[in-house]
Amino acid sequence: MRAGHFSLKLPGLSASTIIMTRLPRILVWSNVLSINRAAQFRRVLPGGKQRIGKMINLKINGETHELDVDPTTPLLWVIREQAGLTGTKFGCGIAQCGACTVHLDGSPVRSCVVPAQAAVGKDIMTIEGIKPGHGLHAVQQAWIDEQVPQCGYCQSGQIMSAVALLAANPSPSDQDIDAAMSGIVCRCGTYPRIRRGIKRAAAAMSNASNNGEKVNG
Amino acid sequence: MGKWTRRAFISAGVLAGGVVVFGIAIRPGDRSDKVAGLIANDEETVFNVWVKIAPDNRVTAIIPHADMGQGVHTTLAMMLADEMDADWDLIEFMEAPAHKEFANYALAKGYAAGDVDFPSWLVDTVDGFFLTATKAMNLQITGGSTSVPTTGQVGMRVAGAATKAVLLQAAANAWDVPASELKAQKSIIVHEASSKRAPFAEFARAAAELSQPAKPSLKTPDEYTIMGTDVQRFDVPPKVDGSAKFGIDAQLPGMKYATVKASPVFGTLVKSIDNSSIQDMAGVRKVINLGDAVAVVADGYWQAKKALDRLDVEFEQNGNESVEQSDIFSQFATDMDRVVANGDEITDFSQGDTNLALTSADAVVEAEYRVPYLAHAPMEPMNCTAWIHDDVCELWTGTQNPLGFAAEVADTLEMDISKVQLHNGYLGGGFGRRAFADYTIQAARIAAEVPYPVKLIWSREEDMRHDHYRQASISRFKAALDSSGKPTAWVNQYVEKYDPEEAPHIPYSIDNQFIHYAESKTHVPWGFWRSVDHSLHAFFTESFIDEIAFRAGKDPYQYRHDLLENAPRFRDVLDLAAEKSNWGEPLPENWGRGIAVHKSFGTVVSQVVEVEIVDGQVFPRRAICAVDAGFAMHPDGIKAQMESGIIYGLTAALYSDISIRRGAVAQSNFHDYQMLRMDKSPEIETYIINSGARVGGAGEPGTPAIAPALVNAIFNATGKRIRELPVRLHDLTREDLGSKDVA
Ligand code: FES
Ligand code: FES
Repeated sequence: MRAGHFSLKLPGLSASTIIMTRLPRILVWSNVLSINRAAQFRRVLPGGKQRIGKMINLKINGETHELDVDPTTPLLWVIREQAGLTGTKFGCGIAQCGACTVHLDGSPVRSCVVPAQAAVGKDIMTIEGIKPGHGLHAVQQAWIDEQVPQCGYCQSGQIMSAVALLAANPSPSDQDIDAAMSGIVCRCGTYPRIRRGIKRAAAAMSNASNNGEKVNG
Repeated sequence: MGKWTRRAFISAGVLAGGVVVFGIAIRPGDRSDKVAGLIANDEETVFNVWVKIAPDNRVTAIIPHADMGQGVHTTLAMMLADEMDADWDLIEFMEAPAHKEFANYALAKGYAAGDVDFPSWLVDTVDGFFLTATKAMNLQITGGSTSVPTTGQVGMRVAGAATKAVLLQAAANAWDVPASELKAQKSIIVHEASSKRAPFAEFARAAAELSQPAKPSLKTPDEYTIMGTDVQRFDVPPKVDGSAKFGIDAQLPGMKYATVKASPVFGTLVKSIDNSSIQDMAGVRKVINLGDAVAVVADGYWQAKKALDRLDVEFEQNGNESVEQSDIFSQFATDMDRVVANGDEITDFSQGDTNLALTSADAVVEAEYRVPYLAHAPMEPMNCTAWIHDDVCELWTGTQNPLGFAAEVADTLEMDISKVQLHNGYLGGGFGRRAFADYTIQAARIAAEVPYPVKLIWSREEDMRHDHYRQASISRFKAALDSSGKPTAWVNQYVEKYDPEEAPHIPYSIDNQFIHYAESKTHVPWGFWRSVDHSLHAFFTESFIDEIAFRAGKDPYQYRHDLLENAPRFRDVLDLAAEKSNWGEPLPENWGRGIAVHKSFGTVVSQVVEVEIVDGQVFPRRAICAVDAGFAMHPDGIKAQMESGIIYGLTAALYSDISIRRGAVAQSNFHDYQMLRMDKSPEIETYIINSGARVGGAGEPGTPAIAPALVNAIFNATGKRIRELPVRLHDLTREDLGSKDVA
């Protein structure tokens, strides 16, 4: 067992584990990380008949996934359930909350209403993909510096929207921030910190580029 | 010093011989083995249920509360670390397992004992009693803003101080010096005279064999080094890169997905299900009749949802199918009238003689207010993954009450609670909703019908229509004023009382008071909603005091200030909010300023809101908040909670109503249950007072005062007094404001 981790074992339970730790201070459900996706997503009729679904290729965070899906399935569920990337969240299912925001060819979209088929041949980027190889994206760092998240559930959508905003507009005004961010609901009310976070990230990105440094943005 | 394994550690008799949990020895035998096994790795030393030390000197705080955004893991770890004089950089935390041994007895004590002071909160018999009581009640609840005031103040700090005391004693024994000559500095034990230094870990084992003091001396605020500082929260980094695991993120091999539809009219049963419409839908595995709901299990959520939408389901009728929201308000009004006519009022608070004061009054002011039902609508819809295998039921979910949920599932499945294992993830918002186990019970019942793990996800529509709602209510007031405008009587009748008891009480010096209520049950399920009854009563009482001030021709801030002569904590907080808001400075046209003050969960909050009215739309531009929680353990955390409480409260005040139509909830998703968004979010400034009063909560007290501050500001801007929430129902366009609608 790794130092700093804690394993919960009860008699009669096979490897049921909940781990909370600092360094990296995340909660990991370790026994649920390896997924037998093939078994999980066989299509079976109530009668037990196998059905061959349509195979589509989706490029998510630079990696191509060959997936067996009903092409009308919203991209959100394909990302979460089939690609296994759970950072993108479900909040409403009707394009009202923005929790499911991902980038399609760099533009923010509500993945709960985009059919998987519509993403074929496009670059899909999720929260798991915005971290550059080294360190954090400037927006992520600003989010930590401003201690933005509360429950955190909306934050993938907030961050994806903020990253897209700053890519298009490196020094957004308050009105620009309102326009870009008002589609993303935060029930915990982190809006004032999100606004500060965007301004901080914008400043960090512009300082870095003025100094000729490599920018994580 | 040699290493020791957990086995050796236990056989050495440390636990069995009496590791102390605040004066209570964990009973010898299997149980102590189990407790150690639940929380300790090999080679770690367990001191009590809340702290352990690893050989590399890391200290782990074991936190018996769920984090739903309030940062409680961090704040409670700070309290423990500070009393231990531990190095903050070597502090880790883990959430306590959902196990009876970890029942949060401090919380039960907080509820049961209220403000009563024990001779010491560590008297063995008292703790022993509450530990037993709490375990019997399956409590390990996060709610009631109790984590810091109870678990932190009477748990974590004491655990930290007691652990430090035995560590110092163990070092003193080994070095043969008096313990009083030793001190701890950043997880190092230091003896200055001899320049001896050793990490905590070196004496951990020897210390654990010592009996921990039941009444260790705690630090005074001037000695704090971690409490009161702005450390970064543990849970933030995983929440910026998508790695934080919420209940909905559980993934298991071979897992399937389910979604449910319960009868729209609360409490009715499924009459019939016709599967024929979904026979050939791909990926659909099973339709399950749960009695009061129907579930579809499929290979993915989307397939389950599509099938459920298409499925023909008929529900029974139970007589509530014709109930409309207006019927509910009429019922309330009728019941209120009836108890007054019959003299059946239930007294909430009474002093003096209000009748006499009213008859001799110079003026009498009356008003009636209404609030609607409210849904919690946390961003993460209700969900739970359940898997029944090898006689065990495993659950992955987000809950404010892990032990209670496990117990309810055990009851439902008729299993022993030791066979139900609940894994609590991060909560995508709680606000009281995740204290109700309905979704977890459903998931377990579905899992009982299938041989694989199943993740139940409620649609947002199901979440909105099957919440446990903040009650709707009516509140009526009558006040007597003397010739100087000072109130001499306060009469208040309301309907539907839940909790906490003191929510309708006022801090103002008014000699004659009669506060009473009527009961009037409806078929709408009730639930704890952020700040519970405070969420309505602050709106009622702080609107009405504003109305009286206006009638008396007084400034609403000054009027409150003058009536708070016997409530200095309230007055100080009110004064600070007024001062920081530049109360009295002129505002532009169509702007208004409103103030309110309210105490809840031990914390006094005053808020000033500035609004601008643009084409009849209300824009809250600025909110100033002053807060006295006794002592701010984590000031930035309190500020974040105030911001959160303000926006949650503004959302409700401006937009939210759950209304009953044909017996069911009319609203279904965020298009008709609107949320405050970035463009309407005010700038928020929070100012903290550390008064030294008993430490209060932070998660809820930010919410109650904001609704009255808002409507008072709208009144100031427009002359229109809003007595029914939400504000959205009222026409505030300019033309409508020709005649000032005043109290
Ligand atoms: S889940 Fe897509 S916008 Fe809400
Ligand atoms: S942080 Fe909880 S919903 Fe935004």
